[in-house]
Amino acid sequence: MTKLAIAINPDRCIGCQTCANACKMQNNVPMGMLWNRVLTEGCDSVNGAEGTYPNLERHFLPIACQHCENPACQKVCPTGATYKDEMGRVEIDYDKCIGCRMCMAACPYNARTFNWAEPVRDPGFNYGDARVPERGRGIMEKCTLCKERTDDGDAPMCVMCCPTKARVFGDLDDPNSEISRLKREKNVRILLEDKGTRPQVFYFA
Amino acid sequence: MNQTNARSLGGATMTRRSFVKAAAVAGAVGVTAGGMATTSSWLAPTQAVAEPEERITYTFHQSLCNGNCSLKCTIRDGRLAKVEPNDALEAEYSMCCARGISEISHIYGETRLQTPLRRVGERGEGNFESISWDEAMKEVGDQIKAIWDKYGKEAVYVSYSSEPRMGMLPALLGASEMEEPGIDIGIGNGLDPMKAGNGFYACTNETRDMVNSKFIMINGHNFCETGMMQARNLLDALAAGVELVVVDPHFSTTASKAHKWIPIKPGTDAAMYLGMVSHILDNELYDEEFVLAHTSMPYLLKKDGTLLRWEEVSGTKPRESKDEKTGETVTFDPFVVWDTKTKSIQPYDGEKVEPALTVEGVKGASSYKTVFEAIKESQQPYTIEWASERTGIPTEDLVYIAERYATSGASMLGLGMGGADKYANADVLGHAVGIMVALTGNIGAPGKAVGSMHGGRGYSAKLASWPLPDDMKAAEPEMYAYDFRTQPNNIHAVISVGNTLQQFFANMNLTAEWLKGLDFVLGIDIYNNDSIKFCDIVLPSCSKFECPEEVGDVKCAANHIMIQERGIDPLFESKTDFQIMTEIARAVGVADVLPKSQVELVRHQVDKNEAENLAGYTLDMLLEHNGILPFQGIEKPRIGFADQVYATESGRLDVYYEKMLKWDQALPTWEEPIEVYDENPAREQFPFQLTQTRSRFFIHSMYYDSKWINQFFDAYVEMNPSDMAAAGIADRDKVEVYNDRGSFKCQVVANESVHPGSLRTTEGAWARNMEDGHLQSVTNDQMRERRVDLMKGGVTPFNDTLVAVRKA
Repeated sequence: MTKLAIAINPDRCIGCQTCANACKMQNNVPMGMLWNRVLTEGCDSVNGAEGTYPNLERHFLPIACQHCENPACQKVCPTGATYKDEMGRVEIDYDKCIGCRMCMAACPYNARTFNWAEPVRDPGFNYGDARVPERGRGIMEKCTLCKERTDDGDAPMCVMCCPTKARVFGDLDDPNSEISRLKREKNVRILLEDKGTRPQVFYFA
Repeated sequence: MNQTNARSLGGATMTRRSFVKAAAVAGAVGVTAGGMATTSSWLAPTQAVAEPEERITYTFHQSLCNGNCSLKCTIRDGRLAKVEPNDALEAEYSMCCARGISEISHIYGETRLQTPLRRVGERGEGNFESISWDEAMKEVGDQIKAIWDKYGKEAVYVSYSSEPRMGMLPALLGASEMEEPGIDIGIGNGLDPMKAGNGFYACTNETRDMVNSKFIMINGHNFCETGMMQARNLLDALAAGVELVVVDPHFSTTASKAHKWIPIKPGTDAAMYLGMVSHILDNELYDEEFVLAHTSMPYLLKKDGTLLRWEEVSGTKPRESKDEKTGETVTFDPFVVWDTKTKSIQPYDGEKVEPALTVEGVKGASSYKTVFEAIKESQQPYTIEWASERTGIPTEDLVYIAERYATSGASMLGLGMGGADKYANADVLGHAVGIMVALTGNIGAPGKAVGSMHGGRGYSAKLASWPLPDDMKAAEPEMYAYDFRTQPNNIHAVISVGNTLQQFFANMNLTAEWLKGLDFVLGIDIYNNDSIKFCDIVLPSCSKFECPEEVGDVKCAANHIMIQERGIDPLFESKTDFQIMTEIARAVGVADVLPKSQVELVRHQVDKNEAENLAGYTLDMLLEHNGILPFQGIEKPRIGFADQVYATESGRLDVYYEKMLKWDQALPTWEEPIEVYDENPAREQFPFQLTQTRSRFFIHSMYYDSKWINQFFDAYVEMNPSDMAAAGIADRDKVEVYNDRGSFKCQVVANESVHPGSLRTTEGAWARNMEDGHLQSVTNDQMRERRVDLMKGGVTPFNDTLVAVRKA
């Protein structure tokens, strides 16, 4: 079996947002939406910090779909539009999506983003990878783990573009992969582990 | 012709970016990976559209950014659809960033200058009419020729930034020109003379060498943001166990990665180094062997503070040698030292001479002292306790960094251009740093380096220049450009290439007054930036993604030679930098000296190069290799001055600046900033420092208009919540920031990272980012008198600015 995932080293993340824009571009994500974002932990300003001057810390947290082994979104999808594919990715069949947004409410990672209106693209044409399906009004979308790229054996765009090489992509079912080694050997952080969603994406230091 | 505001012109119909729904991808329908077919896709008819036409091209991003990314671009149906790292690159060099990717939207943005413009109404009002290239170029030609007839060619000043790129323009016009007057040279003014640098104090080793260091100190330099593409080198060093200390008034992203962040009072960085130097001297932490062999510290000084030379001692005529470049005879009267072996004064470089570091009490040298002794004397007031009081850094922290820096075995000191550089005392800082480097020998070996790190500071390679006739040369202006505004001079026309009128000058209202009095102002840029409104004629250039020829440009950077290949056609009515330079040359009748095409120019630059590390490289090879090739011999990181030979007068680190004697700065003497010192009485009225730091979202004033960057960040001021509470200001309030020079209004954001007592914003924000007014209207443009003797003139002290803030 194949279980594709991304491991992220927040110690190497400088909050540059390259992954966010790389994802937006590759996947033709409309304005006002991102599949992948970089949060600054504990504050609502990108340049903020936790603590009181001068006792401060700043940690960036890149976050997108966690490609859970037990996806809450899939459980609540009434049409089967959200599914776990044979590569271990959580995907959406846009043709089956009825826009009910149950998945959006269920996802504890706030990873999903919805086309409330006709998508607006700036520039006003379809950018990114031509193989990526266009989504219209009323359709839910989120990180596909760059399905079109990973199907071909390429790394997701966020991994390829990350200027600090903070991201590692690979197959958790392959014990010899870099990502499996990291999961075994490193101090691993799983987001909201208590929710039982069993994310495949993990953070390490 | 319609009279319109340039801003609305920027938003006019864009025919080349219309929606093409037909390009919707055929893959949108079909069988899913799960093998299920829905009825809608099963029954959907095949779309009767042609496959979109897609091609790949390679280019480099604009040169204002030191990232120097080489990019792979996907062009679909004539539009820029995707930007990613050049896949020909080794992983070590593969890069692009959020700004580069944002170009797929930004180049089509509403602030693009679309056509040539002619001013209507008063200069500075920003009202223009759209005109044709023929009309524009006739006007440009007539105006420049009129200036030439009336005042001479040097009366035209080319205010030149790194973008757009038209490097031959000043020479073609015989115009006055200078590189970044008053910008990014503050620290270099003090640091570079001792090692014969060029004033921009590039780090002496490249950043790939960081991993070989034991202790890295970064000061006033948010390297993880402003050197984003090389931040990986610092992170690799940290992973390898290198210790990092960051000194910065604000808690920067770089500070957040450090083992220790040391907050410092703004404008006092020179005091920190003076204190560290004292500690190193008092505790004999210096490297005596290095000091004696590679620095001017054993040289003898006379009582008047000038350096004693061999002719005065011995009557020997100065040495003569031939300058290899000019063929001219050069004379050199050697410096002297006290030779402990012969117990006599000898030339510093005499064979078997064993120089003394001190001569106090030595018979025969009683009229003299060594530079080392002079340093010890001048350092007397600068105790570590004094430094602690000036800087607000606890004594134990100062002791710690001084000792770690001096004794780690391999220390590196990174200095930035956006922080401590922008104070009038930055030269004192640079000089004190240089003395500390010279005392400890932290230069010229792996892991030992000093300087500004952004851009990676790798190897250089020289391309062939296009030969211009000998009499075609740029003129040297009679003064630095910031002085044009207040001192009598012969400049009557300005050509602003890029957003220079906003960016290069503090105190914008004074700049505006000066510009009003000129005969002619020409502006060239891609976007309707804040310099454009001061121009009479505006010419729209295009981005590096737009290139109508097979090849557009070439550059050597980031250890690679890279080219710009054919891209999308120039958008709207814009032209390439080369085309605009040629148009201007044609308008004044000198175009016949230029190559006929961009390809011809680049082919000359590449194929005729004589650089050893580009040997055998041709344009055709570049075209075959995704537009990029590595320099030869880059396997190991560049180590500057590995031979400990400096192009100074004595060939060593000449730390004593005789030229600055009259300003009491032959050795670094503490001096307060002009405005932001604690005791300044003006603080009663204007209690806050305004600092404009550089950030990961912008490159100087670029990308403030990029919607894909605005997703994450826009221009605002940040304050420490404790200051806001005291001033009765709440998070996200609209505020007015003001002083006697001007004011602007924008949003304020609460941020604990900000040094209390400071208002922080990002450098280069445009008027359109503000509610009202302009950031540059409040900035400090005062300079110290000694600027006339500094290597690169005065530094514009943008961050040495006091303001008040109130709820708007």
